[in-house]
Amino acid sequence: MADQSILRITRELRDIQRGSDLSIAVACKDSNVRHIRALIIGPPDTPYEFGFFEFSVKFGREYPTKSPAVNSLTTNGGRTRFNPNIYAGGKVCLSILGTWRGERGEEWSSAQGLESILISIQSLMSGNPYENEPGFENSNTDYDKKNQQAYVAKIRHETLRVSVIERLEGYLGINKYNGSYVMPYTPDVETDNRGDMGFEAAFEPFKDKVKRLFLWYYDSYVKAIDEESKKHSDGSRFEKMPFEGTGNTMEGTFQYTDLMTRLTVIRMRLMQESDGWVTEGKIAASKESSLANNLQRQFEQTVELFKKNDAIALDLELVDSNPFLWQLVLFGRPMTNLDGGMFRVKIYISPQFPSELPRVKVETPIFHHRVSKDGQLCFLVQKPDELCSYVEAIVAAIEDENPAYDPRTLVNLEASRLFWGSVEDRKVYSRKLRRSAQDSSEF
Amino acid sequence: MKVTIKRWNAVAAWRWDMPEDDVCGICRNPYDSTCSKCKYPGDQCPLLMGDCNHSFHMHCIYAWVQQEASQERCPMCRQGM
Repeated sequence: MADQSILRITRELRDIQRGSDLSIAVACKDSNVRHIRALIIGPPDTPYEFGFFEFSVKFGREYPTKSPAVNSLTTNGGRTRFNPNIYAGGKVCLSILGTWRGERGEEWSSAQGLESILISIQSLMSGNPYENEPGFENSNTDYDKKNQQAYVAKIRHETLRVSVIERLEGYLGINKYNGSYVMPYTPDVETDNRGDMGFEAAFEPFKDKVKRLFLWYYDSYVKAIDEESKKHSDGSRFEKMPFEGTGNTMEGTFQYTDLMTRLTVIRMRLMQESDGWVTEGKIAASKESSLANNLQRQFEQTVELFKKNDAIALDLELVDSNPFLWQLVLFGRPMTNLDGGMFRVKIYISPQFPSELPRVKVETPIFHHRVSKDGQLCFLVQKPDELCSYVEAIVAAIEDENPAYDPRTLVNLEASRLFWGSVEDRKVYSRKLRRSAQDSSEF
Repeated sequence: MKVTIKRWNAVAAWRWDMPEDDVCGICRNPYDSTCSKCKYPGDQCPLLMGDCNHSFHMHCIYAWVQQEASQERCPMCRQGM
């Protein structure tokens, strides 16, 4: 009887995990489904853009009659208040959580749930978070306007520094002062759980996902740093907001030059990591490990599958007979923009597959809204533990001509701007894509 | 041809008169299934519909309305039940 809420929690977890919302993720340890970790990706066109914000959500036995307890874990070790309603101490002020006196009709109800909570938190991460602070909703004096800009500017910097760069440096064991290797540590340890800190620190459910998303959004981070560094010189101080009190602030200085260097190191390390998989995979294959055999079999099955499929023309092979590195050559479909193209894509498979998921790189230069400048492909896999699903997803992403607009899938900024721009822009996009397809046969 | 029926067993299925894939907003189980406290669906675990036309398993909505915080309002639309 006491466990009746478990059913609902597992159902909600499964629904979110199966869903296609790119901006939230949830995970829990098998030992305790009442204690959930959630990851919210900062919404596009806000100072939180493509930041990685982690939360702990604890469900009591009375859920869903009572709301769960939610805490922010991305707090720069308890020093940074990322939003008027997301405190440095981790508290999340939200009327549906009962942590803020809401208007009648804004409180918790048992029809609310994990997803509605996460979406509410995400909506706090807006383009102008200054007005989230009670009493500042309609503030429009020149003083307020100046503050609003200064607030956005420092959130942008800290989103990049804390939620992206330091998180990745932690995952990869990068010493932030000189880029050298240190033992990995977790920057965001739950403050309310110091007793079992070692245990908590080991639970990093979003590590692999964040690494892949980092590569997708790398160009956006670079662009943000480029633009912001022109406005905020290194060493200039963050402005203090009128509502920021002692111990619950966002203090610091702009250091965009430093952030750029660190961003580059992270990207390089991630590339090295995937190259390392290939080397490790080679060894595993020579020892005929069960994973190597399994991948070999999956490769053969996938080849058979696509041989039967006349609609898609592609060529699959193992690079150097290594089942951990697949090479796919996709032949552009006639009568489309891809006509005449030959696109070489590599699939890097981790020796920890499927707990670490494969990474994909498009090696042939292509001007495409879903392929970043350095060949990162934005694709969505149906069945993450089956390799043939990756091949399908890669083909679908490259051939996709009528995607739904989703700013979270726009990994090539210039191509997306043209693709979603005016009629004239779209023509330019198609022309550039066709040209890259034609050039690809010579690559 | 003449057929004589010697014996017959009636088999029937029932379901609540609700949209097939709809779920209770509180326990998120299908209406045709039980609330999360009951074992068997049926008259022991009936459905209730409020004035606002939102339906729940009776046990689910009771648990909610008994909360002071609920102010006896529908969890979906917050109208009085």
